[in-house]
Amino acid sequence: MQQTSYKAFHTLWTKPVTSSGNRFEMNDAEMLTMIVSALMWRKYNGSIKLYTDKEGYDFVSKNNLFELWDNGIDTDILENNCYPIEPQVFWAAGKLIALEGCQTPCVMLDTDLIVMKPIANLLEESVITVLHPEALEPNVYLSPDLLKKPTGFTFPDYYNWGVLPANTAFVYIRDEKFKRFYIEESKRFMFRNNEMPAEMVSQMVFAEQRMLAMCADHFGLPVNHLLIEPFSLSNELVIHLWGFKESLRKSNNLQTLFAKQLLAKVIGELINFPFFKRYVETHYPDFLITDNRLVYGKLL
Amino acid sequence: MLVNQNSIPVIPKISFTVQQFLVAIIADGIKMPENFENSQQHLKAYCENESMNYIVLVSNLRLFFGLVADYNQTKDNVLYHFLMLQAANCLLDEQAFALLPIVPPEEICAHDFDLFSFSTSANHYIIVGGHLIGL
Repeated sequence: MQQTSYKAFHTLWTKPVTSSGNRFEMNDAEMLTMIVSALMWRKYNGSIKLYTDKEGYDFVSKNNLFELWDNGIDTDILENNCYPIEPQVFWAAGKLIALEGCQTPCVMLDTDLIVMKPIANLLEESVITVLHPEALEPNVYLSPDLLKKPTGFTFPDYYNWGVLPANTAFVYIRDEKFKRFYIEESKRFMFRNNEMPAEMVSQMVFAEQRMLAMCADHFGLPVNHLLIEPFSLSNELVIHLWGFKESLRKSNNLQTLFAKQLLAKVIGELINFPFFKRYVETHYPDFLITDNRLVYGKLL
Repeated sequence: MLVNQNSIPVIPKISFTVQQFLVAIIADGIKMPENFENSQQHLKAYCENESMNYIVLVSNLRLFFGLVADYNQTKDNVLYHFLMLQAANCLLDEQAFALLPIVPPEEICAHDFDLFSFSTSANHYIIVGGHLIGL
C-alpha cells in the first residue's frame, strides 16, 4: 500500500549570522547532517523544500546542494519580507516566516534533525505533532513579568502559562487556521522586540516553542510528540544534534568521528541517491563504499 | 559518563601481546606524535599475524591522536567520552585506555547522568538519539 507523503521544509535563514557582519558557514558535520536529514525524509516520508535567503542560496550553490531538496528552493519568502524582527534576538524567526508561507499540512524540520523511519502512522491522526515536550526550566522559559516584550505589548488572559512548551525541531501542523493564529501571535511578540535577553534564548523559545503549546491549548488541540523523553535509549526514531553542535565546533576530529558513525548507519539506506554517493566520495575520501557498506581507512 | 556505556563498540578479541604493543605505541605517539610513523612497520606485522585490518586500524589511530590533541586543548568532558569510544575502535578496552597518558577531565560529572531523564532547550552538548549511531 502506498504510504502517505508528507511535505516538509528546511530553513536556512542566514540573517542572524550576516547581520553581525559574519559570513554564513556550516561545518562538515552540520552539512552532512542536513544532507542526511533531507534524504532520509525523502526516502521514508515525502518531499522536502528549502526556504532560504540570498546568502543561503549562494551557500547552496557554492556547495552544489541543489539536488537535495526535491520540492525546490524558495528565496522569495525570506528575502522579500520586511518584518521588523531583530535576527540576533529571534535567530530562528526564519523558520516561522517560512512556516507562514507554507500551506498546511506541512512539516517544519530542522536541518540538524534526522527522522530515521517512516512516521506516517504517527502523523495521520494528529493535528499537531512536535519533537518532544520541554520542561518549564525557569531560566529558559521566563515568567511573563521577566520576559522582554515590545512596547505596549500585553499577554492575553487566555495564555496558559502552565502548559509544557514544545521542542519545535520537528513540527507537523495539519490545521491552517491554527497555524495562522500561532504565527500571528508569534509575530505580534517578535515585531519590534529588539532588546537582547541576558540569557540569549528566552524571547526566541517563547515565541516559537512556548507559544505553540499555548496556542494549541487555547484552540483545545492536543499536541502529540515524536519522543516523550529525548535522551531515552528507547528512542529509535530521531537523531537531533541540538547542543552537540557546540562540541562539534570545538573539534574537527570529533566531526570526523561523528561522520564515520553516521555514514556507517545510513550508507546502505541512502546510497541509491546518486547525489549522496557523489557527496560521500567527494567529501569523505577516507571512506570506501563497498557493497553498500562503508569502510573507513581507504587512503593511507 | 556522558553517554550510555552501551555505545562503546564491542572490541574484537586480540592477543595480550598486541594489546600491550598498541598501548605502548599509542602512549608513545601521544607524547611524541612523530614516533607513530616509525611504529607502523611493526604494527603492520602484528596486524597480519592476527588477521586485523591494518588500514582501518591506522586510520582509527590517526583519528584517535587527533582527538587526544583536541582534548588536551579543551579538557572537554564530551571529547573525553568520545576519546574512550575511539579507543575502542583502536582495539583498546577500558583497562588499556586507563594506561594511556590522558588526564581525565576534573569533573566526570555525576550530574550528566541526569541528561538522560529530561531536558530543556538549554545546551546539553550531547546528541538526541546518539545511541542510534553508536555515539
